[in-house]
Amino acid sequence: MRKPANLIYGVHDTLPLHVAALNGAQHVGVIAINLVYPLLVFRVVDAPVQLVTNLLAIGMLVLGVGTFLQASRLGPVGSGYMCPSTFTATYLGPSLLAAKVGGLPLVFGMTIFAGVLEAALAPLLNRLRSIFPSEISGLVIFMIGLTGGIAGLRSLFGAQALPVTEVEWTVGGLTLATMAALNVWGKGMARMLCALIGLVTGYIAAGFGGLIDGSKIFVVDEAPWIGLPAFGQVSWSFDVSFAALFAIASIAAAMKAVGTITVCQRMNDADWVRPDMRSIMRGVLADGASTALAGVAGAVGTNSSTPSVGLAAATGVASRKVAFAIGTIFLLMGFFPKLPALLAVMPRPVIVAALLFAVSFIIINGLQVMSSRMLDARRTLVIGLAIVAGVAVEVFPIIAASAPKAASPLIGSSLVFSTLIALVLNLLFRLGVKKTATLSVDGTQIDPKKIEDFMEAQGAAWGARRDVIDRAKFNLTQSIETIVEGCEPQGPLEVAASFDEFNLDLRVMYSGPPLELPEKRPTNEEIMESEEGQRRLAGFMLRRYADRVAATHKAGRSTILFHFDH
Amino acid sequence: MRKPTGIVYAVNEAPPFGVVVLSALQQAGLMSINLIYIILVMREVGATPELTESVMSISLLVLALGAVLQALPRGPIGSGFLCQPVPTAVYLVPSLIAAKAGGLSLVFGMTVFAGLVEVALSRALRKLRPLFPPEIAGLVVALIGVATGAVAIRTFLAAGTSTIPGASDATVAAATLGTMVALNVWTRGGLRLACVLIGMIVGYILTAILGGFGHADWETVAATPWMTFPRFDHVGLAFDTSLVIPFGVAAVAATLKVMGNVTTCQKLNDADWVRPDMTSIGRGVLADGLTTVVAGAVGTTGVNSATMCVGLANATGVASRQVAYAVGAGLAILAFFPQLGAVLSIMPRAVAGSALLIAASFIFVNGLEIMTSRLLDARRTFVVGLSFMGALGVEQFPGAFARFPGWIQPLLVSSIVLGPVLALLLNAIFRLGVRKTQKMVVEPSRIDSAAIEDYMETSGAGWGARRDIIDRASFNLSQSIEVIVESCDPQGPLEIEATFDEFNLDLRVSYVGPTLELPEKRPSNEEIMASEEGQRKLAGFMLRRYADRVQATHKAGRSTILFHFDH
Repeated sequence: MRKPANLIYGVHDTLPLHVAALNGAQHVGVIAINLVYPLLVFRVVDAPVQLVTNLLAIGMLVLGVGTFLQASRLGPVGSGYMCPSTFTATYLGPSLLAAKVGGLPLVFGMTIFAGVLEAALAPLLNRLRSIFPSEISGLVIFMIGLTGGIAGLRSLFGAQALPVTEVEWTVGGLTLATMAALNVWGKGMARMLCALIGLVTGYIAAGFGGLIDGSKIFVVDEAPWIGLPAFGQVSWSFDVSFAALFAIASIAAAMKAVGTITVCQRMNDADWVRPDMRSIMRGVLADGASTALAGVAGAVGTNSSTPSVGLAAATGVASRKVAFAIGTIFLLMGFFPKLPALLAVMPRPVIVAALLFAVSFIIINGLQVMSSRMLDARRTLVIGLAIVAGVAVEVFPIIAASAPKAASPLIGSSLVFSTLIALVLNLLFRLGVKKTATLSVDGTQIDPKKIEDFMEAQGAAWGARRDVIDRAKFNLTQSIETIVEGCEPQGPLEVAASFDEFNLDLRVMYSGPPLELPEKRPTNEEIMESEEGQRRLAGFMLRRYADRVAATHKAGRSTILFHFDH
Repeated sequence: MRKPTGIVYAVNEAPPFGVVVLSALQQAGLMSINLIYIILVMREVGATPELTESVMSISLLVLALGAVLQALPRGPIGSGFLCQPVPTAVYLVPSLIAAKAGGLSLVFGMTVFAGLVEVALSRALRKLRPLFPPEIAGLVVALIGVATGAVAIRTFLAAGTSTIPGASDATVAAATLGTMVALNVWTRGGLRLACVLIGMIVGYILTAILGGFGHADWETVAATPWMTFPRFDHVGLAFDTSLVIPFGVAAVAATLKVMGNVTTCQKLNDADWVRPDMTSIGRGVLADGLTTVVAGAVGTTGVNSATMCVGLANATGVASRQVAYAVGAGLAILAFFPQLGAVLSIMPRAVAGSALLIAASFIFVNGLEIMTSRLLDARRTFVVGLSFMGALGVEQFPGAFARFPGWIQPLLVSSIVLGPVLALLLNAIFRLGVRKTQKMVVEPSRIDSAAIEDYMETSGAGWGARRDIIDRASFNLSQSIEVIVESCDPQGPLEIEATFDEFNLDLRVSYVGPTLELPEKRPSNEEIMASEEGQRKLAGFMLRRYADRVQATHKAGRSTILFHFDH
């Protein structure tokens, strides 16, 4: 694992305490954007202010524990990355419905169900690896970024939102400009804390502009400075008719955790090649456990926070220690109810600015993961159609509205819908892609163009990495020339290329004497003296061309295997 | 220019006659989707069926001219690619406003104006190159892809009308899309080349079987005469300064779209594509603008290069220039036989939507690959990310920007205008503070190759350089430094200076110590054994391998070695 150049503190790095604390505060500020989701649910049941403050405090404790769980590597739980918990729009729709039908007990009960389900999904993820190639991981990340940004824009522009005023444009613009400017031109602490400084600037500007919502202020006013959260008011119930709804939300949460942790892996490793399923499984388990805990304690469902990971990419601070700082701050905030109340009234232009800032990094990450592999027509259609489908359900809500009732939760979430389309198309298009492809090369007239095209077409069909295919391509033409010169093969050479995600094996077969593959270059005298010496030189040269080379000989036919790590 | 493997016939290749004809038919079928824009404008002025027919046939002649102009490989006009124009949504809204305000002559007059603006812009493009880096080119292409996808869905949903697609529409869409995709993925040769055409025919037949064509549709076709000659007596040119801004902005949008489309054409024809070639883009924009000027002058609405046709060329692998000529010939013939055009004009929305979806997929992925062909640092991430979100914001919340002042409104009507404009603006701002030259000092006593890699990586991302070049340069730099330290005994630290512009990456390593000779040939073993001089020659010979060009100079005790990499 090589640390990328733009990362200041990688996941394993330690950082000074005050940097960790301030960074933690910054993440708390960004995560606080989502405090609006529990508030919306509590509003449905007309919960009294006192109950709301108490439940908000419990929520803080849940987020704290969830963040610790995700960053830890205790037993089978936790990805080990700085990937904090947040409340999520994913569970908002189902929770609102449940609150309407069965009140808060049903919300909490169903949240436990969703969390347990997500945790149960985690061990299955490893089996899904082959139907989840890199470009689909990239697609999921891209869609997470996109939906995150759109959710932000919706809070400002959406159907029920009030028209956006000039003051709001100014505050939003100022917040975003502060964050971006500090990030681009700032150095050291200014860059590392760009979001926090931006949020504070936004709050101050919003205060001057009169945007701190008067009707929400009373929550802040009435919240006590210090108080112990009370768990006595929580109860649970279960309703089968909500199982499907929460199950789909839970799948969406699992997908989001997969995507977010993939970004964490990639961000911390300059040589990242593919998602590491082990840490993803542990991460999804932690994510599910945290949601189940939320239901038990009396909070709405949680999920890994994509904006936080985007923020870590932006600031270059991704240390696990920051996650511990975030967790600690959340746990403390559980005992100071005024603080979460203050964060929960964040003005909407500030929210939009922070989200847009953070999701830019997620979107770019998604794009880069998608294009890290070669894309042929099949893969192009998989990605293209899936993205159009995702954008379509976002832009045209009528599609979800007019779909059959059973399918509408699937179609309602653009993330789930688009991933589903990609997975189905990918499964379908895998038909007809051979793991092994062969090419016959006439030794008397080698056409390097034909060999290159062969590798290129196969690489795109397999979705291999471009750099590995480029190497294999170069090496194959060179090796064939070496073999033709050094071994005088009779008749055409057969090339067989086979691929799985971790290995690319090229086998070159010909009728002729086998090659010895010496470790050392034969001496000049040896080469001059005998044909054997020349053949040894050829064998020595072949070694350079691949990660591993092996030669076998059987019944007059020699096979040389070139192995490339993928 | 190396042909990519997915392309069967690249732009300079001549496919067999049958392939040319089939591909041209397929392209024409796709283009006909956009003829609706002319009908909409004609409807606005209450034109008679005869007039509409005549304008339609004029349009087809203009499009024929445009297809040929755009494909011309030599001369100052034409990108040289299969990238033909179609009537466009870009000019629809301004044209509707003009039609309402001043009738057809105002539409035509303003169309001429818009075309002239595009022509003028084409002259200025070369100077704008630094403002238009590959990641923005890619963003434009990707946004055009997303917008085309949205148009596809909108077409299928027939948004704006009260009709919601029913089960039969869904069946036709599934069959059409399924046919196109299946033929594209699992077949080779003629079936793959004509996958969209075959899918469209399947869609037509299925619609007919399911009774999807209404009585009015058949009547439209039946009422159209076999043969017609276009009349030009409706042509007049008027001008209104209040329409300068909407048409000017539309011309900018049209220019951006041509830039995106020609960039896609360049990339899909060249496996070794590195950056947009501004010469062919400028010529392409000129051709596009001239076609719009002609369109206005002979009495029809503005045209613009067709993204979906470029996507189709990519999907089927037929991008030959011959197809453009054939499309031109075909459209010219269609112009005199309107009944054929009428059959196309009743294309079921499920069929049109499916064809657009396929094209959108390929365009989007092209944009994606162009965007990520460069290293992206935080600045470039903001440029791309924020512009992308801004564009989507307009697409999804069209009403949100209603309170902005009127003069800026035209910029906010379309995602493919706002996205690029935001990107250009942000790019211009964030360019501040990026130094063309980056410096670093290395102590010969401890060479830290990780630090050297980080330095190259950070600098490369700041410049938006290509990943492969930076990887090479970074590897070579640490190797060269080791060679220099071993064989030249530099006194004091080595100073490294990296300078970048879009075409060159120059690394200069300077140190106090003897200079290096850079022999072309490896010194003989005897030479190496015999003297230090021989060893230094060996070092110099090794350095040659590490870059595209190497040069050593010596001045006042200080040696400088220049490593040049082509970018």
